[in-house]
Amino acid sequence: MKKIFQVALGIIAAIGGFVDIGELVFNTQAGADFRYQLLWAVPVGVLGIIVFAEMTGRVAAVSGRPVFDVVRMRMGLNVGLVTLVASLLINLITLAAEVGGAALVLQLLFDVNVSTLILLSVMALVVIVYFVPFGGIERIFGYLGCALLVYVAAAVHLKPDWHQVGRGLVPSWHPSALYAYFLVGVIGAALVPYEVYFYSSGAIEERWTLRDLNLNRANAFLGFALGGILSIALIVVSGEVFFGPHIQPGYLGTTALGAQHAYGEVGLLLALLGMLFAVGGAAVECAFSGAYTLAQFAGWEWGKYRRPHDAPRFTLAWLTFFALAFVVVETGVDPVLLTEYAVIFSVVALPLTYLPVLLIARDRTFMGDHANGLVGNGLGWLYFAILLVVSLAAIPLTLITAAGSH
Amino acid sequence: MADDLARGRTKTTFVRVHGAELSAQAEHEAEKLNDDPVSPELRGPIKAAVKLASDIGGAIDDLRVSPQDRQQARQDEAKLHHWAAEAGTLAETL
Repeated sequence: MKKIFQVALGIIAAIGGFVDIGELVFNTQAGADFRYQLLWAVPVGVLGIIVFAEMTGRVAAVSGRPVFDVVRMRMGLNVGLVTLVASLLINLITLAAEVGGAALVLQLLFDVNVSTLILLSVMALVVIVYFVPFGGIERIFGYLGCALLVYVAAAVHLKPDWHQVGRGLVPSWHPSALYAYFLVGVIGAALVPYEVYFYSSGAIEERWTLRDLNLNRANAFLGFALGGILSIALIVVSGEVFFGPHIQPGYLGTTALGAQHAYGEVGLLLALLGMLFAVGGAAVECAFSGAYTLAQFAGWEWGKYRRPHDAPRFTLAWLTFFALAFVVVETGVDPVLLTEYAVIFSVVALPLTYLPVLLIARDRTFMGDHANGLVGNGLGWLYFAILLVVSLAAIPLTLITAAGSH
Repeated sequence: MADDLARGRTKTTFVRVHGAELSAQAEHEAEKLNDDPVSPELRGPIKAAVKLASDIGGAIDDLRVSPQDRQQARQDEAKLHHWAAEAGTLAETL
């Protein structure tokens, strides 16, 4: 019973923690521009993150090795170093976008100068991360992020044409670069690498063993899949509210309008609360992911379960990430634009971390009986092919569409 | 936003902040249209578009300056709907 309760709590936290600023930006814009036509990209991205996360969790439980340990072991120092630098830069851009997003949401709630709110956001996140244990951090942000479920309720409340919604879930093609750009964006927003680094390192933090393989499957399959429902709801609400009157949701405030349209002030407040904790949680994950990757690659002591003075370089690393993100956002760069670039660059770099994990997860000499089976390998290679295509298309599409603006 | 404001279904701080973002964007679009070089046959429509963008920015500014005024919000909502339709018609003529 205790185990079931633990799994259920983990899944709730995973649902609340699934959506980040990438989904809030890309999915809302996709719904506004193409109504339901890009819904099918969500399950494609969600299945991808399930496959990737399940493999990294399994590798961590079986071997005790997190992602960047595997990357360095499998790819060697030089390729590993390139992957590390790319991952750190993407983590930093994403962290800056999440911190900026948190400040923008606070501004919508309290109408205070955004520069002050950026500082307050970073300070609050640092204090929470420093003093709250790992499980507590996951639960605080995960549970409160569930306020975003207001979008699921709104999607039903707005009475969309369910036949059209169903058709949107069937893969289709629209001959425009903008459609392809948002297709890449929606898939990429679901497949952001920091979530996987965090998931895998979290497995080590929580000392997963072979006995936790079922927990890994439950978290990966149910948590991400149910989180994907939130992503779908964002597109449906946006398609209902913004598509008809040609509204371009270029601000987080516009995304919140979708929930307000359905439920008035309560909907607005739930949307803003959910966004705040979703992007706040994602900011913590990003800062940790950056510190994890650096520490794992360099062989430092790492882990939130260690006291700061027992893992000083790891602690300094996540603090530095927050400080750098603060500097980036304080320059006045638009967090929404930053998000678009973070997702696109993440997509480009994704195969570099995905491939070594796939190679290790299918290696019977390393994983024994827990190596990928036929289905695992099939899905693993299929997604590697999808990631290659998406990563090659990402930058040209960003240039052609001026980052989705035409 | 104007409709929700008129029906008391939103939050004052939200209207102030989001309204400022939207009106700034409308003003920015008006400036861009005004500054871009255009061919003589497009001067008329561009002038109309600049006026529309400027009017829309102004109406949104009214909303955010007095978010408690539901009557004003209702009037602004009607104006904004009208201008949205005008903008659509203008876009089709180009």
